[in-house]
Amino acid sequence: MFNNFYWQTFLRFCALSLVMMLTAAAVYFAFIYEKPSYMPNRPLFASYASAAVSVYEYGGSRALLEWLTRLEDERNIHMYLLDRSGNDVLNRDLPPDIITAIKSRGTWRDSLPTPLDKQGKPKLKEKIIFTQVLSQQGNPYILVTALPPPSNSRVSVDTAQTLGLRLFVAIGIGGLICVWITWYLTRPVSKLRQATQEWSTGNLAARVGSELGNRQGEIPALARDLDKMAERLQNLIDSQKRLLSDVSHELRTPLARLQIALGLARQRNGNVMQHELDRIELEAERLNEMIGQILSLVRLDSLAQIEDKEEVDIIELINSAISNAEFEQMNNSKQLQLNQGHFSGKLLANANLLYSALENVIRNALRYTPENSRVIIDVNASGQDQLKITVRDFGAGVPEPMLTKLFEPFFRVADARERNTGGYGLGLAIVKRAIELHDGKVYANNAADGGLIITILLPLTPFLRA
Amino acid sequence: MAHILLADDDVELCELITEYLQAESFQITAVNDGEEALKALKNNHFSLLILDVMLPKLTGFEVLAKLRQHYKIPVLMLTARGADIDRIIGLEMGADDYLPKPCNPRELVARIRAILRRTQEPVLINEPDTLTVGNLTLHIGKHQALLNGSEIMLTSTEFSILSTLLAFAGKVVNKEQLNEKALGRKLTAYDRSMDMHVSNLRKKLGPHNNGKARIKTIRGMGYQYILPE
Repeated sequence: MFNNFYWQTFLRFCALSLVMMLTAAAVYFAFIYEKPSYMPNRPLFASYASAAVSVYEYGGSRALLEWLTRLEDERNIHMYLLDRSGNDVLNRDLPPDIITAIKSRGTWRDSLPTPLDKQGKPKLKEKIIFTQVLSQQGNPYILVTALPPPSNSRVSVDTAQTLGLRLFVAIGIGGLICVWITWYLTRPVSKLRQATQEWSTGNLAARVGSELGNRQGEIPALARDLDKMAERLQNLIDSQKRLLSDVSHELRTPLARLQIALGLARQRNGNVMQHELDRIELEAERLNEMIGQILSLVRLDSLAQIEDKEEVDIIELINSAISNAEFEQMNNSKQLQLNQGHFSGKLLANANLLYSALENVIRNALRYTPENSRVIIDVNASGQDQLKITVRDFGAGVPEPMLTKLFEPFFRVADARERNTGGYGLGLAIVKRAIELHDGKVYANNAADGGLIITILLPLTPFLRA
Repeated sequence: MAHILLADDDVELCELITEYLQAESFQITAVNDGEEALKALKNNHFSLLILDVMLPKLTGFEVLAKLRQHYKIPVLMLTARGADIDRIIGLEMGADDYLPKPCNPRELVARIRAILRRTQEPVLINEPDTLTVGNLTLHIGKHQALLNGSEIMLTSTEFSILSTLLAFAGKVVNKEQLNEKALGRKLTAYDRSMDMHVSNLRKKLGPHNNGKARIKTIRGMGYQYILPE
């Protein structure tokens, strides 16, 4: 369930979330954010100004100095009381930025060396506020206040930690939400895929499911449609299989009667019409075989995979097929030669299917190899995990363009040949289905010095060490 | 003259087979469904039952299962061509042999004769009538198998196979020989009938008292009845 599709969607979600966050942040900082302002509180400084002036005029310089120093210590605010000509009443040195500020207001004094704070470091920029005030005695003064910079302009270690923690939590929660949303959205698609995967392997019984199909939306609607389609297909295939089995049963009935009637004819006629009766029997037998082969082909076609596999001794099978084929020969002029190479590993197969496939190929080779020649069968390992069986005859071979078509049902290379040697064009089609059901391959080539080579490749499972 | 019961739903086919087999000196009774078959078995004695797999009312398999509870009569199954599974199930359920339909009537007669030969074989004077190995005793003439004194039901084919194996107890019996002796026909390639019959035998007999198997399969060769310790 947490497959490629899930991770792709998840990453897309994360990317999308990230982009949204960044956009929001950009918009915020560009348009909404205001630098933390000093927010001068004018009434406050007005009262400071009157207080300063009163202290000075009634308490003198010393009192003012004390008061100002206390304010500095308590609130980190630096104040200078200037007289009407712009000089500090306490005759202290004014910091350069205040001088600059005074200059820009029109009152000035000579520049002074950079003032340092208590630790000896140069003072940072302070915001300067001018408050004009008239004393009770009528003297004009200017209170110049240098405010400390707000703590926001410098990131303290504490703030970094809290910010980091907040960010981590935000990402964590965001991540979890992304995970959940992705799962919620990809789950229906995953369920669809599960069902379609089952269908592609031939199991039409799988369904997407009602839990998905009962909801609203495009994907549940798709799921419902797909389920309906699978059901219709299943019904169609079932009815076709039934039709074929019914047809075969029906065909067999007159054929069975025909054969018994033929037996009766022989019983009653003795040796008269022997030749004709033989011929009837031969054709009846051919009909029989063809029906059997069609049924096998249909059955193999509808199989997605073989159910019962077992360990099979391939040499025993081949020898069995060889002795059977030899037995069927009219004369013994054609030789069957088996060359056994070395291979290790188990061959897991359905013995019956594999046997009939091998028998088919060997019989074909015997049919087409000329009198007094051989059929050579080689069994060898091919690579680490494959078994290779080649059956080679010394007949006329098959024209190159038809080599792949050989395995199609009812394909004939040339009518005349087929009629003489028997065969209805179904054998190799059955062989191909049977071998492919074993996850193997079968193909045909012409041999360099004449004849056809059929190659069968089958997968070997390595022996398990006990 | 052997009396054979033929059970097949194809009426015309039954007529033809009856005609043919009568000309081969058999007495035939034909029935067309499963229930009729069982009824006929109850009321008459037959030497052999030819049983079609596809029967109405009771299928061939159901008839087979029911009759195996009461009768030892040999059964020749008529199966559909290409339906391997029918063959396997039938043999597992106790049929003695099978023949795919449509079939050559000569083949049918051959199989019938082979089965009858087995079941009606008179005991030869110089052959022992009783064969005992360990806790297993076979009375050849009566076609009776006794395990620890109590009878076990074997089909005629199973009995035939067992008596051959027991006669050669401790030695390997070649598959081809066993096939011809027990089934009366040559072993066709990759014919699983023998395996089926032996498997049934194993199930019915069970292992030796010491837990070891009675019948051993020798790959590529045949079967062997293992002597008890």
